[in-house]
Amino acid sequence: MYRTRILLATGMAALPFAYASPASAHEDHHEITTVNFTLTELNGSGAEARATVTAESDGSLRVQISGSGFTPNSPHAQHIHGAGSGHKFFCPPPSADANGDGQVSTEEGIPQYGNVFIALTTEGDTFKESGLAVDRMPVADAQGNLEYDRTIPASYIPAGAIKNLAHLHIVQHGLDVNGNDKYDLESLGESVFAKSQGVDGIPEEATNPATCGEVTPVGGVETGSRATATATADPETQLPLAALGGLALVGGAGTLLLRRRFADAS
Amino acid sequence: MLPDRLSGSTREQSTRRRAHVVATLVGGGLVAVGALAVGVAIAGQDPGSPGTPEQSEQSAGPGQGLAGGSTSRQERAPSVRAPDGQPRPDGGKLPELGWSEPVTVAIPRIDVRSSLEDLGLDSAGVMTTPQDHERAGWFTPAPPPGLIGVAVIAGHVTWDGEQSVFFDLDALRPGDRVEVERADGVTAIFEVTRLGRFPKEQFPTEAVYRPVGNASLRLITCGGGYDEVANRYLDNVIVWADMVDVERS
Repeated sequence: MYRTRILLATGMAALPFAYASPASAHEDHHEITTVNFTLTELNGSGAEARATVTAESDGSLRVQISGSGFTPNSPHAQHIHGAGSGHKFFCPPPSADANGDGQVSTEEGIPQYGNVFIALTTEGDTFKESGLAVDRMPVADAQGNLEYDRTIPASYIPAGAIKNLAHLHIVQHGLDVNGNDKYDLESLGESVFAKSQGVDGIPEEATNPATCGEVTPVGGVETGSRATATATADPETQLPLAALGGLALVGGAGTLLLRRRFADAS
Repeated sequence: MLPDRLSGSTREQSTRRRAHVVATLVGGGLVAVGALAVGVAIAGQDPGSPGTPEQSEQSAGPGQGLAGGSTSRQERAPSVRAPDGQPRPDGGKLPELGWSEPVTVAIPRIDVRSSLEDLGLDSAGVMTTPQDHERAGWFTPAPPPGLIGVAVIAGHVTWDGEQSVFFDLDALRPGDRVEVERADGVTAIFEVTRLGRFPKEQFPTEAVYRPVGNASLRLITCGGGYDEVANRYLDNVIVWADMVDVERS
């Protein structure tokens, strides 16, 4: 009852502002077209990267990744992990290292970041079966920089990928644990994951995750529309201040700036 | 303990709202007189200069909140210390929680208790905001509160001239508690470590979203000057908090 009256009253009061309803703060949920990812190191790889994934109007998906600190002159398998629906995936914490060997391996990470959803190959298909197609994965340069820019045709994009883009993760694999600038069997042995996929003799260094990327929103958050005319709940201070605001509106020119009490902190 | 604290605060908020509605009506009437006239108004007991948002920040440690701690606010804010003692300072001893959606966020100092909407990204990759300005929202692309990593909850500060759910967020101080109840019955309890106000153009993306090794939480709302032409606040108020305790119902 009481609440209804409040809504009616403020609704009337807000009428003069009807032309100024905020555009960005309250918009409908559109299909996502661009998502940024920040990829941070896993397993002490020292690698990091940034990625921008753009859903193009023709249904294709452009994936741009730029990173550094990777094992030089070596291919790095990279994938978008997750699924076409749901949002229960995330980059693995160190505790995902189930066998306690100090490394979150690919198979230990999959329960956290999900299965390979799109294999980010440089050419050909991007199906999950190509997840270990290292001959089609990008190669880091001699300085360990890794660049990738591919527009993946719509026919390769699995159902739900575009809609669920914000809930996917990018994982790049391949690190150099013993610091000899290459993948070898000495430090971590043979890849359990590759072996499980029927490929023998692949070093674990080549398949363990080096980075994992979560979605990073662009810029700030539009969490407000129309500042309150007054900052406190005291009725005796509210009325004069509201009046002040109104008078200034009547007589002024320029931009209306309602300051919250916040400014007294600066 | 939550329901008791909250039933009291709800009454208080109703009183506040009623006072606010009166003011809104009066103010709205005057604005109506001005029709589409635009002017420069500096409202509130605000000694600061308008239009020059400055980065301000407070880190962990005893002291005043960003707003300087008005007496009235302190009066309506109950003690936020756990009745049974100190929060656990060592996050490493906390149980590691599994994935479960957050259901409510409660911030005792500012009498906030809100169910949570799902937030995502808009087509430009910007975080969406709650449809209901009286509710906060959980940013679903990031982990849920309680998991290792950065959970994010955002809420409006004002909506069409009315106070919204996070209106008083800037009153938080290091040490204040934020309680997030999850669908699995676990309440993840966070302690504020840092808060700050930043121009949106200099939003500290790295400091806010970069993954961390513990269960942490960011609360975000708007603040600073309001740009009437662009219909937006110029700043974001950001609260950093770390999980310090876990309660199971």
